[in-house]
Amino acid sequence: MQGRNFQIRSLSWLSSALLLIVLVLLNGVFARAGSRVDLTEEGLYTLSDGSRSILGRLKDPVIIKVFWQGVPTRFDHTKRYVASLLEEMDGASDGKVQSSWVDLSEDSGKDEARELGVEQYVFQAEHGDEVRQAKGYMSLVIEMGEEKARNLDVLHNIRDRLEYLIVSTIYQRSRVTTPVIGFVSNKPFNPFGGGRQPGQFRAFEQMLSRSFGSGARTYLDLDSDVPEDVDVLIIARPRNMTAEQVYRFEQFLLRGGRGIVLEDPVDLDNVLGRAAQQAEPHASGLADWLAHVGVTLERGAVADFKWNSKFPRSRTDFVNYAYWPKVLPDFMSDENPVTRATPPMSLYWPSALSIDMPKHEAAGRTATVLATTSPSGYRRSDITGLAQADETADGKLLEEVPLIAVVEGPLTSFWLGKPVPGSTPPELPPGDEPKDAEPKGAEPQDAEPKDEDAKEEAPKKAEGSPDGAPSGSPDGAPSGSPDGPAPKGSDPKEAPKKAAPKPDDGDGDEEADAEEAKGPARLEQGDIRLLIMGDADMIDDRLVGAWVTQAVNGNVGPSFVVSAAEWMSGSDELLALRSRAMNPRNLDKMEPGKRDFLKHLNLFLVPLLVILMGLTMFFVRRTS
Amino acid sequence: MWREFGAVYRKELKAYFISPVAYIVVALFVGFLAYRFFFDEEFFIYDKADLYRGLFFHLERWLVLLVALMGMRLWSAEYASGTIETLMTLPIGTGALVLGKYFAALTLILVCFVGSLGLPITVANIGDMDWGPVIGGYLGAFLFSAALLALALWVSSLTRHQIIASVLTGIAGATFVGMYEIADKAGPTLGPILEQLSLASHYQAMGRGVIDMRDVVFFLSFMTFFLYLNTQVVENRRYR
Repeated sequence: MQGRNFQIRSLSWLSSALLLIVLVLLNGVFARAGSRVDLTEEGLYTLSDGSRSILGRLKDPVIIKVFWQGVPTRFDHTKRYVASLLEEMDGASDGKVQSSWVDLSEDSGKDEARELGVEQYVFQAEHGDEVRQAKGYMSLVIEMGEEKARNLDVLHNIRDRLEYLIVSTIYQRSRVTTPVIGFVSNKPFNPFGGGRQPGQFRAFEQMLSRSFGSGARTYLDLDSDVPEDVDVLIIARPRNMTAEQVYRFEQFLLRGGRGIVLEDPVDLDNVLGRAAQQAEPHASGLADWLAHVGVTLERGAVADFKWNSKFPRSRTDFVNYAYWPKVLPDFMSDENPVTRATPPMSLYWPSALSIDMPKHEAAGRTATVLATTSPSGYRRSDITGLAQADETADGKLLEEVPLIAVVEGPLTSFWLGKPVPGSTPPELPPGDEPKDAEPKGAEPQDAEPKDEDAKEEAPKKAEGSPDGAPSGSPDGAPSGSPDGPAPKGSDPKEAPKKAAPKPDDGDGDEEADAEEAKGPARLEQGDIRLLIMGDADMIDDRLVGAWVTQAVNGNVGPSFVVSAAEWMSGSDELLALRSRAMNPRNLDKMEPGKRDFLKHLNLFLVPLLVILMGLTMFFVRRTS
Repeated sequence: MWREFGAVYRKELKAYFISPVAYIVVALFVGFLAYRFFFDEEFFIYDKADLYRGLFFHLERWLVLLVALMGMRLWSAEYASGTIETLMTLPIGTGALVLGKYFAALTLILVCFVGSLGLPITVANIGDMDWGPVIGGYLGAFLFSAALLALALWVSSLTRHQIIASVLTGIAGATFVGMYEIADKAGPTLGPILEQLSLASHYQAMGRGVIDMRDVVFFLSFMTFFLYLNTQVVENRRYR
């Protein structure tokens, strides 16, 4: 009997061990096969077709080194995602994307990290009830052609954008021609130190540089002509632009350049900062020219009483704030590749756009509204007391308010038949003089841009400017360029006389010097593509870097503008990738009472129902 | 076999729902999850229409507890009350016995999950929730519980003391969950093995909405192995 028992037990152990071996082998087989289903709506964890296409065209190998050590285990799902993403990229690139996990337990691994500029980060690690700080590595480095292309750090924080960040880096480094994107903002960089003034766009500029590499020109201004090689010019938060600057921008557009204007009449300073007391929207100097184009920025700010963003009263106390409308995909154009790929985007005190459709039709242009508020949008014409978060929609006229538009098609110059602002009217060759009759489709002309707001504010900033518009650079300093606009205080009509001639460079070629001084030929008509929106706060460092933007409202604005630049430059392959992971999926606006009701409903309803069922069963059994 | 399995399954399930145990377990579990979700994890401050942080992130810890409590009586109670002898003499195969008990307990766990569906339904009504990660999270939690329950059933078959069975299951469960926490420190050879053996690492991957066949196969293998061990233990007892 004992022998039989022993036999049975032995067989039992043996069969269990055999089963274990079979199961281990089975797991090994599936580990190699690695098929999976991504259930997320946007396919967040599956390499998109766009990425596959870009990686599939790779000619040279790309090395991705992952540095991961000492990271608390709560980040393991990120580690797993990184591993599976790199595996997919390897497959999609036919082995061109090669990844390796650096062994950081060895000194050689740590040395490599140091050489590549990979740093350790401090993590909070739980040890029982204690929370300790621990250092660890959580980065990856992309190397292309034996050169470091990019470091991506704290991978957990960028997990949802990781595919885009890796693929876009590879794409930007490997594309044959890089579009050139110019960026003009209202305050110039201070060459004598101190960096930029508050309220600037450094984070956005860095994003541009990352996206376009050497093609990003973040230091441009309009005090001289836009360089020939610029494809797209972004003007952010223009302030009191002079007629000369507007003219240069228009010339850039007429010669085929693409423009993005982020007007910002109501900005952070108007509402919360130094200018809050003035309660006056800022003047851009572009208003008359934009009106000529057929788009007007309405005075005041736009609210959305249904879809809006959170405003922080403290680190843990947020309230919905109507003047930070959230533009939902439902209210963005499906036909435009940029808005089609844009998740809900928070805007900050935007201004409404008014589009003169008959004018566009008459000129043969198309003006397309790319985004509006929800039907609960509201136009407010004054900006006093805008910081109060408790305003309600009661008694207000609610409607869908246009916020972003794109104008495409022929445009006749604002200065057609008029002297070029601030310089000699170009001498056109015989027969090329503008005729008395305007060309077909030409808009009615004004003599000079008359930005009323600019005029009101001008005396404060540019004393002595006879036409009220400030001359020279926007901060009131005289233009430094000798062949630039007329000096401060000069009459534009007399400007040709006063404008300093370009000095002879002494090469004896006076004809060439004269040609050079004249600058590029003046264009009076051309096909333009111009994107206009009434907000630049969404790319302002103070909001981009704010915790509430990053963690609660979603930092979509900068990506939107970069996507728009990509679209305008014709390189829109990355558009579909960029934004699909950035949908912040916030909760709807809710009264505190409703929140409490939902909390308690969930806490008590189901448990009470279950207990009630138990009691019913108990009494049924007892009676039967 | 299937008729025998059905008979055992019905008998076990009835035992659960005749006694107040099932109702109390389900009510406590659902209430506890709702409390953690809305109060401990401060769902409304986080302001995101997803369940990962509030529900699935630490769910494996609470599932270890739930399964340890539910699994302790599966065989131990039979041993302690002496009904195991009767059970062994019935014309029912060991496999049917094990599977009947196993799936009855698994049904109760499923009822707990169904009871917690109020959370995703609430969130979907107050925000644009992506159901993919929710489905993945629930599937992962179910497979995790199923694997752990197979372990609990086997542990329960080794002892006649319910408390010991419960504590041993808790320790074994915590070990299989916690393996990946020490994987990083275990070096490049042992680390990946520990990570691969950890139930939690496979579960966490599903919580973000990705169903990887490797995870599913791992859970199924884990279940199969411990259910098989269980049948061997019971079978050996039958011939003792």
